[in-house]
Amino acid sequence: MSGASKPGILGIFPYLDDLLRALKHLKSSGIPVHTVFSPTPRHEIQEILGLKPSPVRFFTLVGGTLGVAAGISLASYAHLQWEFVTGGKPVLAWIPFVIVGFEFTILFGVLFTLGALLFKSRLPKLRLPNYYDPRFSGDRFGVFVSCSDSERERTRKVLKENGAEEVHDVV
Amino acid sequence: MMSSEFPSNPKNQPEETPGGSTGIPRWLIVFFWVFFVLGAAVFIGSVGGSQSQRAWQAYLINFVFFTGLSFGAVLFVAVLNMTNAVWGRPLKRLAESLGAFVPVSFVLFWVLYFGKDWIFPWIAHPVQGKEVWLNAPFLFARNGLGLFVLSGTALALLHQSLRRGENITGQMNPAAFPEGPNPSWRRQVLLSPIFGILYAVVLSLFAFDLIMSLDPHWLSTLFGAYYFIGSFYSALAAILFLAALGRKPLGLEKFILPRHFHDLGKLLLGFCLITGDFFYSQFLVIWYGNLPEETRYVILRVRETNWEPVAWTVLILSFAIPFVFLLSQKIKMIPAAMLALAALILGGMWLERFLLVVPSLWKENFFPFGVVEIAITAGFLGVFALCVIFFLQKFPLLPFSDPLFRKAIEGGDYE
Amino acid sequence: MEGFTYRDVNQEILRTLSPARKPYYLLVALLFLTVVYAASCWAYQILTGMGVAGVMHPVNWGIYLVNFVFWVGIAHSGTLISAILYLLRARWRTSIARSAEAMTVFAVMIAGLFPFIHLGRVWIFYWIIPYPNQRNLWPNFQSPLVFDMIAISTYLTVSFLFWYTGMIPDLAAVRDRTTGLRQKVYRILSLGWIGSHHQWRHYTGAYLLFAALATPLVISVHSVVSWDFALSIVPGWHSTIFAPYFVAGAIHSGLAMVLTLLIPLRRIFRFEKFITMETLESIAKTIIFTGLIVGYAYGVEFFIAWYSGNMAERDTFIWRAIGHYAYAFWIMVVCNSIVPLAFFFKRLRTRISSLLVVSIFVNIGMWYERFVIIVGSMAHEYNPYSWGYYSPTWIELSIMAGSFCLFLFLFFLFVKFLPSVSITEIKESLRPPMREKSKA
Repeated sequence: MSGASKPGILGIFPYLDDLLRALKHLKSSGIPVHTVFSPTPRHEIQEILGLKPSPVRFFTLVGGTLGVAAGISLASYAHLQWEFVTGGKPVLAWIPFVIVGFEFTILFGVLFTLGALLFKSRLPKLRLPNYYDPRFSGDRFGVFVSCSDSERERTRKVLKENGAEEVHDVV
Repeated sequence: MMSSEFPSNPKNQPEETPGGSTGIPRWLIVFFWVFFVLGAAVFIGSVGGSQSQRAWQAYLINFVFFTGLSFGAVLFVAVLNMTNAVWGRPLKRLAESLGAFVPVSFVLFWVLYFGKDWIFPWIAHPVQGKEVWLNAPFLFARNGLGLFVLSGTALALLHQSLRRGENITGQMNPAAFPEGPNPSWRRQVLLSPIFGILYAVVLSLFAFDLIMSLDPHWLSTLFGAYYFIGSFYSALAAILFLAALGRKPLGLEKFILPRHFHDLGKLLLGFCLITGDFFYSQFLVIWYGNLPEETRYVILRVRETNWEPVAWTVLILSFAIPFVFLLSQKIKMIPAAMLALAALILGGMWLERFLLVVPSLWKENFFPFGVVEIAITAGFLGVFALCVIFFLQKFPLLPFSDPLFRKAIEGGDYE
Repeated sequence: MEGFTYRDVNQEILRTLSPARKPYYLLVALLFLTVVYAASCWAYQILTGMGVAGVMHPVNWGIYLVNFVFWVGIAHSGTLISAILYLLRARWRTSIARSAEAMTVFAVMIAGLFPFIHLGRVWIFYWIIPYPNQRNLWPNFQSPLVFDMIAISTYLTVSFLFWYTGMIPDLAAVRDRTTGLRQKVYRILSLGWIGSHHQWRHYTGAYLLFAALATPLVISVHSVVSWDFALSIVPGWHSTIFAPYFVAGAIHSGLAMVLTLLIPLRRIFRFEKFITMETLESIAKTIIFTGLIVGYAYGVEFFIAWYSGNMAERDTFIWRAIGHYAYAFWIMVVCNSIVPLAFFFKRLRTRISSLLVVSIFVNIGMWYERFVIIVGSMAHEYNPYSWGYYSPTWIELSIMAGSFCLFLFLFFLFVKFLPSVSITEIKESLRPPMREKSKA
């Protein structure tokens, strides 16, 4: 994730079922997987790696709540500055302020979600990691295991057994 | 090939379809008969005497609530057909059962004729300029015709859906899927959009004639749509209620899964928001324009001492609470929680119809909610439930003749 | 899309980004010149004054506002397709979502220009922005025009971010297949995306939330625009049905614009395998639905205008049908609610020519609908003494032509430099490559 260069082993898979099997074997052999690459999101990968749904939605909730508060406070503050009665309507009327609050809710919600996405994914990143292969955005899956020299052979064996098309040493 | 994917039949013999005379306990049927008799008795007893106004009000509220709900359920079936949706197929028959009330509502409509003097203020005080539209014969003729046409289309749709199931009532094994060309499916697909259009037009007419005209000087262009969208919302809640309540007794646990509750819950959330949005659209425009002929209706309902609490109750029960709880994925998957939520929504929407109808008619000081209203509501509920039960007992609980249901089964959705 | 592999998807879509031929550059240059011409007309208007536009008492809102509402409406179906259909898990949305979102972003940008264009003193536009200032000037938050400003800017921001975020994995795919300067640009645009499981995990969560947030936004934005009119008490405007009526109308015109744009796109880029007849047919069916809603609204408005007994209201509606602007009214009714009924016939909704023709009619009809509502009502309010007419001048028509050309110009740039079909989503809709074929 962080650090654009790490030593380890990279396996490239053309088929999804091979990849999933390899992941299961790596898990059962106790080899920690650093990164799995795929051209599309796959829930099977998330399940095998035991990951829970993304926490981005909490940021959204915070953003949305902040938004409605911000919208209504802004409108109320502005109206309290001059206290005009316009069109016979009360100075602070919740009925139109609902609209302002609502729009701000969506705006802040979206901004916070985007922020959370970028923050959690460590984007934007200037340099791609040295274990990235351009085919991963095409039609290949990949597994990168960050390991020391002693582990290399074992990892290479597991990957090769499960149908890895290529296995690279990354230094 | 099909039998291996079909949920296994443990007794391995064709046995009674869930439903039939099993599944639905006898005492429940008796219970609803009691409701009906009680309601009818109180109604007939009240209309002669001093409680006439209350009786007719209660009748009207229940009529518009249950009729709208029933047609809304049929609309759900029509929408499933039009969108070729596969997810909702197991719910189709349950939704159709809620539509069984439709022919009864046609009969109940004509009873309103006898109460027209208590219900429609413009009979005693005709409104100048509107007499050509607001007069009793024309109103009953057009609404009766509309109800007739809409009911007819609904029943035709239901008939086509049930047709091919005749010879397999009582069986739940894979050989039940009929083979060969399926003209009844094509007819359902043809009838569904026709029903959809008629639903919008006829229910709008009901709303304008039976509810909006109770205050003949008031108007709102969105009112018709508000009524039929609210009815659809109630219908979704009712389908959810029936699915949650009936899945175990009717033996449908293998077909109606938590993810169906999740999907139905999402739909319910969507329509909660839409109904709320329609309410707000009317409220904002009327508030902002501040025209007395429009605001009188709203002010009466949200400011006057009698009605203000009802307005807040409706807002909380029908919109606020469902909105909050339906956001959570976990809650949507628990049938018991959804049952409670659906009940809340149904209660809230009933009160909403109460709020639309009663303040226009009730001029006394005390709040008109007592034995009369409860009994008549119970009576309607009894009739409605009996229609549903009758349907569920007579017809197979899963839409075997529906090709999309077959697609769902063969797609391994129910392993 | 049977038999398509991931590699095929990449190739098919990315070949549209290869350098273009002469006709493309010619067309783009022509569009750009028209935009420059329209911009100079606007400059002329700023220098000379609003008198060069046809707006004057009693019709103070002319075709600038008609275009504003028209473009905001077009924008809505893009978000409908990408956000709402995503939530409803409709399969037919996948191949058209990206172009539809692009259409949304460009349409909102253009719509946002029109309030500026129809402002007399454009240079003080910033007075409507609510920031603390030494004049202690604040906008009136109860005014629908301020709602408009907030809603439109929110919509522009959100739809742009939604569109851009959706493109990040695709931009990475382009980056990985180009070299040189182009690669540098795409590298920056794709923000360093690598498609790791960490990134996908947050991405899918965020995308769902974007869709869930964009959905109520779509409905609220055009409701807010409709309230520009409904919150007044002008006869023909003060009507509670405006919010859903406008939203349905927006989707109606937007879907028609989607058809008008995508049918040529599909032909030119040979995207028939992605943008299938099933997709086009689904759009056509949705157009029937929105057309019926719009027709229903017309009917109800007329009925209630009569029912109200209000003389001004009744007269406005009669005048719309038989008065000075009757031609616009009948174009509106026929093109919006009657012509789309043709799609009830399967033959007509599966043939390219009829799809294109009907969509163009609907676009014209929806433009005239805004014209009838805005100009028609203002020309014929309560007081007969103040009734008047309005005709657009050449300046207004030039700027309107410029807006259409600007839209096409941006769209043309989009299809050549960015993937116009979502590579990732198409791949998601296919079967993943499996060694054991039966497993998928």
